[in-house]
Amino acid sequence: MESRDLFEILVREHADPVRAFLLSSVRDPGAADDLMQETFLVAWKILDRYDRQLPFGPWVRGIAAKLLMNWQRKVGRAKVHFCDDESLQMLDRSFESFATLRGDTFDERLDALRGCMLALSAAQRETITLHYEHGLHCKEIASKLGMSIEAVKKHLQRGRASLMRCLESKAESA
Amino acid sequence: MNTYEPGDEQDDFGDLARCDDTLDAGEGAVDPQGPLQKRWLMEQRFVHGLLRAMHSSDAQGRQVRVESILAALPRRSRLRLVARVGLAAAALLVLAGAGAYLVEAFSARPEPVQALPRPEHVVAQALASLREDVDRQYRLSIRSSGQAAAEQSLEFKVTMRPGRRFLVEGHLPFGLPIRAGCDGKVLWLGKLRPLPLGQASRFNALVGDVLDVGYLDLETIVQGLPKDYELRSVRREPPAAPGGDTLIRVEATRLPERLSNHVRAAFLLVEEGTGTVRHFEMHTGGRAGLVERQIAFDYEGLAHRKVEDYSQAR
Repeated sequence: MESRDLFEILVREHADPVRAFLLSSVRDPGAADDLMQETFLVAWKILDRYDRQLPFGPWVRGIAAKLLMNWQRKVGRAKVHFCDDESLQMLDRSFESFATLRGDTFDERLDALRGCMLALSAAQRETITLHYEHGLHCKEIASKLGMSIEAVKKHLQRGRASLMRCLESKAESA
Repeated sequence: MNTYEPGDEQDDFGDLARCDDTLDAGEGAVDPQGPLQKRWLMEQRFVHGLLRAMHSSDAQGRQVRVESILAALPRRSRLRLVARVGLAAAALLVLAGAGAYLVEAFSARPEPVQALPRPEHVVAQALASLREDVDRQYRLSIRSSGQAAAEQSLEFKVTMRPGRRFLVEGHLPFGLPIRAGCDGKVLWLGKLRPLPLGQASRFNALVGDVLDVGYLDLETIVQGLPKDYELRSVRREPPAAPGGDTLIRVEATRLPERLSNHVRAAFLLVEEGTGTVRHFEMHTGGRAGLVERQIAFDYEGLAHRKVEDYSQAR
């Protein structure tokens, strides 16, 4: 098996989690895809520095985090959410924990999130679905559901907090 | 599981929520102050990222993204990666090559040791044991050393049953899991499309000879010993476990005219009473500049779980 073939397997295995890591911090999905590609290009170039005794995921996310910080300095907060080293390490730990969930692929592990969605209140589930699946902004969701924008935000934040607790619980029992 | 409802004061995030820059383009959001606010925000952002990924990732899009990455990869020296990443694959390749080149004769046959069974008899007994219709489990160890590569040790779990059925599980460098097998009819690797045994060359072309049914199947290897190697019984060794049978050590050495073969020496330890192959070991390479490898099968007992058909599906 050639090195390029092995790296292709690594790309296929880690592209989705790296993309999700970047989508946590980058507003534009296209920019997240560009950064993901850059991340793997850098990984390929400096693969000699990788300690093969360690898992590949945290290493490649570390590259993504550095590129993210550089990009934030370049384009500013308008395109990147708040980031500093400490917060990105917190984010990385969450993704590391997510990697322990049952499933061979990232998409299979997302089944845990899908399962957690079912445990949300109807209002939380509906606002999250409208926001993330249908791409509606808070104002549009508020208008559609007949509630205030602040209420929509609370539903989204509380729903995400509930999903976080649910995923943590699943990771602990995995 | 439902935990939050708007208006519940105890669940109101208050100042924490002011840090949330994921909504409404982050308008009005303030930077988090202190670890508590950062932790809250990063938990929100973690789930935010997962939800965005979940709703924007279809198989086609994923394939396009991966292909675009691979297309952008510049060519780099293979040697650097081969030394680090491909070593396991290379080691397995040698293992694959080993079975094909097991040879016929000893370079210097000593007189048989008195009271030891003939090596052909030991091998025949081992073969009979390996042909019992049970699932046996072995630990496959591959140790590499030499000038061409850093020292490295890899281990795999191999479960096997007669009829060219085996299952190999383990990890390559980078923590890359590898699962492959043969159900007696087709070869498979991970979730790749399986190939009929008759197309083993295509399978090898696909995975660089990492896995070959003829060489990961201990039965096939042992079967080839009397034909391709000269054997000698060397000595008795203590039982592998207390109360067990003594072991007969049978050794094989490559003929001088077979220097092109990868395997220069091999030996096996066989239980006298049962014929169980407790240990089988091959040594390859070792010439100047070549990676030297020790490839060993160690018996771990009958498989705890019944492997139904060794097919690709789980």
